[in-house]
Amino acid sequence: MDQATSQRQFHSVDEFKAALSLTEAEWAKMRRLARNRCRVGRPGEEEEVLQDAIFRVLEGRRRWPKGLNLFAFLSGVMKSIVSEESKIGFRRNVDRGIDEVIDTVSEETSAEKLVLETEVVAHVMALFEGDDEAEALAEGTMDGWEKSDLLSLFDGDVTRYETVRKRFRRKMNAHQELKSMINGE
Amino acid sequence: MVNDKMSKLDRLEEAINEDILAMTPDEIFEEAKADGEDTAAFAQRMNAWLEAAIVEANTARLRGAREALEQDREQSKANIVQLKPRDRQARPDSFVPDTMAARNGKKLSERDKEALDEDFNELFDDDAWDDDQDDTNK
Repeated sequence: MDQATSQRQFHSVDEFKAALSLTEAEWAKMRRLARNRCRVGRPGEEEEVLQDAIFRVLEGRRRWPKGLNLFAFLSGVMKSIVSEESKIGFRRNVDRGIDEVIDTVSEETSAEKLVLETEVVAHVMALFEGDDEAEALAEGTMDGWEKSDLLSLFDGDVTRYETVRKRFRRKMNAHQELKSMINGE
Repeated sequence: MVNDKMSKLDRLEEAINEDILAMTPDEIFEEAKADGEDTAAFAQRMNAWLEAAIVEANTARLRGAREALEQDREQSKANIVQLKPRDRQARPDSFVPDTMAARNGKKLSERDKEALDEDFNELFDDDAWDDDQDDTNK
């Protein structure tokens, strides 16, 4: 990509720096986004992950596409940071074949992920025990229901839906370390 | 439509992400305050970190640019092919340059002298002339 095309499609690092003159309220919003991204993969590390995301852009390793909101952009970068797989070391003269090692690790990782997800989902649902509306919203959201489907849970009452959704979001925000809860760390 | 590649937790994360993005910073601020978060301390920490991070990132970018330049220079050097100089043969001791410049524009060259001698020899070679031809001229 030539320089002119790049300038048309992406903000410069200087533009990014200028946009980071955030207010207290905007930093609070960034923190909420970070906490949401870190909940399962890197619980309790929201500040580090947010800083890592910003630093990657400052260094020029990630570029901010024009037309994309700064919050949405950094949230996406944080998502990718959290989902980065841990590096797998290949031990020379110990591991026979790299393919064999990758297969074993991949199988173990997938199985581990599945167990973790099941446990986290169970804990999320437990958070809303006794709150039928929030429980139904959580289930519907996790099953991938569209907004129109979720609204039907509240007989199309948008206000009730928004209220429950807010309650649900705030409760989730308060429980930022689901993985730690499960592992008892 | 349900995105089958997403796990339950991914969907939950995306739904909450959308909600947060849709809220104004002031709404979040109010909520955070109500939840007992120290928003001022967080903002202060982040601003202080940012100041140092900008300096560090600038240094890293400069270092990267220098390394790229060095690499570019090394690459350019690799593209230049050095031609092996031809082995020069030593001139024989008997060599005398036979050019107009070497003769300073005055003397005849050895080759010219040889050519003249050859012409004279031919001219004065009696055998080269036909006797009958002489008779006809009488």
